[in-house]
Amino acid sequence: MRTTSRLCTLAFAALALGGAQAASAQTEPNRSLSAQPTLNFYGLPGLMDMPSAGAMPDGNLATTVVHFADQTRGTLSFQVLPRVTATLRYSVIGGFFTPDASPPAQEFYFDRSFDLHWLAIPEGGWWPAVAVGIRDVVGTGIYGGEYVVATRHFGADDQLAVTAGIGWGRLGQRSPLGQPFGPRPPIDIGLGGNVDFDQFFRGDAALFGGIEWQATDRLRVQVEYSSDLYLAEAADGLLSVESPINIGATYRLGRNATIGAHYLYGNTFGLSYSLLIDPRRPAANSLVTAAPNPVAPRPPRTQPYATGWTAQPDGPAILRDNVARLMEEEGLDLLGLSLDAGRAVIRVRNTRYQFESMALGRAMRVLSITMPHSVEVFEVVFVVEGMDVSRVRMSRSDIEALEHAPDGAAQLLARAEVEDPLGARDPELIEILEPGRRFTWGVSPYLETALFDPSAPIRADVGVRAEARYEFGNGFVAEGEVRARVAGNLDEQRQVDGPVASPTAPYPVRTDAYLYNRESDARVERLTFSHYGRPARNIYSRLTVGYLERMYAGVSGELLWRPVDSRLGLGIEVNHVWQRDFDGGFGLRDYDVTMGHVSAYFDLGGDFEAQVDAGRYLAGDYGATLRLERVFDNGWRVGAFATFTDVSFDDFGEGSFDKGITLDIPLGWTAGTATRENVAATIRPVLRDGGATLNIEGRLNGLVTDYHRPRFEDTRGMIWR
Amino acid sequence: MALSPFLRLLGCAALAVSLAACGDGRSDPLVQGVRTIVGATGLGGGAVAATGPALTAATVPPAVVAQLQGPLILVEATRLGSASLMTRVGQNGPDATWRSPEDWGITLGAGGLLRSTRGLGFDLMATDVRPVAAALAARRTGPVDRLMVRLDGEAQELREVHSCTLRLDGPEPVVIAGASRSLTRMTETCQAGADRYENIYRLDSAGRTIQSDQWVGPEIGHLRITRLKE
Repeated sequence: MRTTSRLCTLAFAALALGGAQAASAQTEPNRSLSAQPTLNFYGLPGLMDMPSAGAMPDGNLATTVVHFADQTRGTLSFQVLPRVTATLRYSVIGGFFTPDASPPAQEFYFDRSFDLHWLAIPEGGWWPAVAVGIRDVVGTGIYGGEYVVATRHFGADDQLAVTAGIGWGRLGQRSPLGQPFGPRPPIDIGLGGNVDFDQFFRGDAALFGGIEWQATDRLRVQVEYSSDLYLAEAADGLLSVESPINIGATYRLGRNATIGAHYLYGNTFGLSYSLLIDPRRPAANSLVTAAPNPVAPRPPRTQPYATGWTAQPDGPAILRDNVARLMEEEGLDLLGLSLDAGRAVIRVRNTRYQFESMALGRAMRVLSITMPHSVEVFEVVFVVEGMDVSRVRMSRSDIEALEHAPDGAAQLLARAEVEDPLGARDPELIEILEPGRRFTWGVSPYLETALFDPSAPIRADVGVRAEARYEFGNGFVAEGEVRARVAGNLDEQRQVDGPVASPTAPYPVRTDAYLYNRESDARVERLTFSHYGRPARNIYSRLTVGYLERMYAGVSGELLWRPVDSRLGLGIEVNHVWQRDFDGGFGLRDYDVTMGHVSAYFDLGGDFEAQVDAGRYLAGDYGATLRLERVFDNGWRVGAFATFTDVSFDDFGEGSFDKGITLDIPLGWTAGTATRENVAATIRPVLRDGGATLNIEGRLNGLVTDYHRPRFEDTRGMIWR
Repeated sequence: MALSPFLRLLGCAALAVSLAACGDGRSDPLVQGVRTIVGATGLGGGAVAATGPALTAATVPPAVVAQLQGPLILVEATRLGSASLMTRVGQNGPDATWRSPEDWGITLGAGGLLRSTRGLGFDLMATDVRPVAAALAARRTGPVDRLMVRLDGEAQELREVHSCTLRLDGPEPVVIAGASRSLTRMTETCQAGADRYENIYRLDSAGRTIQSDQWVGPEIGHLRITRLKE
């Protein structure tokens, strides 16, 4: 099970991670400008305000913050593929009223935008790197601009970079060369969220460029010629561009953080900060856990191993005690033991090891220490929420032979069989079932944030939460959480942009969220009773009733088909829910809906997973959600999703459709200890009512695939750890 | 119930005709013994007694060694600033697994060569050092390859072949537990990408490695492993 602490404080998490990462002993990054390009004011490879042709190391994340001329831009960038960089940006502009003076004038203008940068041609031989970028692909267009840029590196360590490019939109303002691809249609800010295809690479084009020099291991100096005239900002008196020349310097602090100072447009100073996070490099030590118990090999087999122990009266009790004691020591729960003279099966619940192969390897070694010599076949059945999710069968001789082999991990897993536990019967000679009951509880502080509120970029509450969970065994689970707010300003939140006036607008299934913050200081966050089961081979089931989440209560049922070695899963979920009262108590409002979806889960191989959901959403709208995640073997996940339903873009309101990015960070990565906890964040530019789904705990796919063959393969290096 | 070391090594259910209860590994009586004695003497590096004088091969009191039953080694992780007495908790063919009271451990194979570390973080997962062991046994000098298996930040195996050269340095006086003895020193110089490191082996006249300085990896550095008791 993936235990998740919900924390939406991306920036804080990122800063904390970066700090920890900087402190760990790691080799110095490559100082070359090509391997580790500077990130510009838009969070993409570049100089200052201008782009360059480069890419961050594959899979890296970065956050940047820059402030100049009354505007602050914060970005989150991700190197999605070796040559594709994406960035999400949030900008706060003081006294800026947008070109068409709508939305109405306010003290600050808040803008969300999203860019793509593609390294079309890598540098090679005499040929420069060439990149193509589109700024503000789906936003309101105030940063809209496109470019084609080339960068050539010089020097033994690529310590000098010369960049030249051509830009459109904002980047085509200074001394335009003309309109090579025709005129740019007038900007239609509208609701945002539309891809403005008809704008791209249209209108005036202008040249820009610059030079960057790596002066020392930590210091870089940049000079650029900017083609951005800041026409809209100049009209509002924010910035008057007096010179196209910007100069700046960046200095790397520690391993990942960089600060910069800049003199811009002939009259303005700017400051910048950027932080790189490489999910492949754990912030803490690689993983410190107590050393495992070693394999206890049997003496050489000169004659058949004796089986007299099967008749020993106290045998079952001794075996159970031995296995239970060692399993407890390894932090694994023993739920059952059954064996005969040649085969032993243990049922195991792993609440500790984030790398599932590590749990597997340790359970197998416990068997090697405890089982009588005649037992040659070891099987570990992993149990999640009372469901038997996989059976891993190994030969004891292989375990003995491969303990210290240089390719022991690969060979052991290659020889192992992973199958549906329902496909084989357990031995019946000795059978001991542990009840599997478990009570866990906790009291902890919580931090809850709302990003991108119309009147504040971030609002937050802090408080105390108490959680309790009781597993009855056999898949029955009761759990609940109450929260009490101590301080914060979430109750000042306003409805996003006010109600949509259209009579066909959806019921405010999510835009009412602010009322829950306003009207409750203490609340029942959730209170549910669930059953998880295995109705048939390859099929998993879940039924949950109760207060499912903060805003909805009801019934949720799910079925999943997912063979243990499959990269494809199919699921169906059906829910009937009632909206809960705003006060956080047990009362219900008179809105109810039957909704649900069919889902297909694809493991695309490599590092990517995709999910498609199609069905009915909370407001009764019909549509589909596409989700794509990059999954790192150490548990990091970086994803994006978008939902399109029959709610029209006009009725949806700002943003036009539901979309966002998700981030999952394993705590073991930051702490360097064995834990299955992680921090999950979903960042939406705006949460509205179309395409809204339920936030239910315990969805099946994430629970069961952790113990399926592909995941063991991904983590196999840990099997002897 | 207390078990003899013999029983522990062979597992809990080792008796062919009848089952027996077993202690758990972490509270293995020998490991417990080390914990108790080291704790009582206020010795040690690492987590056992941070305040005591540093435990080194030269200064480990003979009385402590005498009190502990069974095979005993001292492992000093100089870069981590810790040192631990370890007892043997496993034996699989030529490979012996040793564990400290702080629950970290190492496995030593033929010739006392390091096969793996556990519980340190940035652990050495496995090695293939058979050519080195053979050369040490024959006191043969010259080039020799070794395979080191480590994990990257995504827990994927990195298999590195290091090209090394063995040389014979000759006799060297070494102080172990207050007693000086003369051992034969051999040095293995290895190139691992941009890193260069040396492993030093000090052998007795029977060819056993009594003390060695063996490289684990760039984060952990070297371990000094000293056999205190057979």
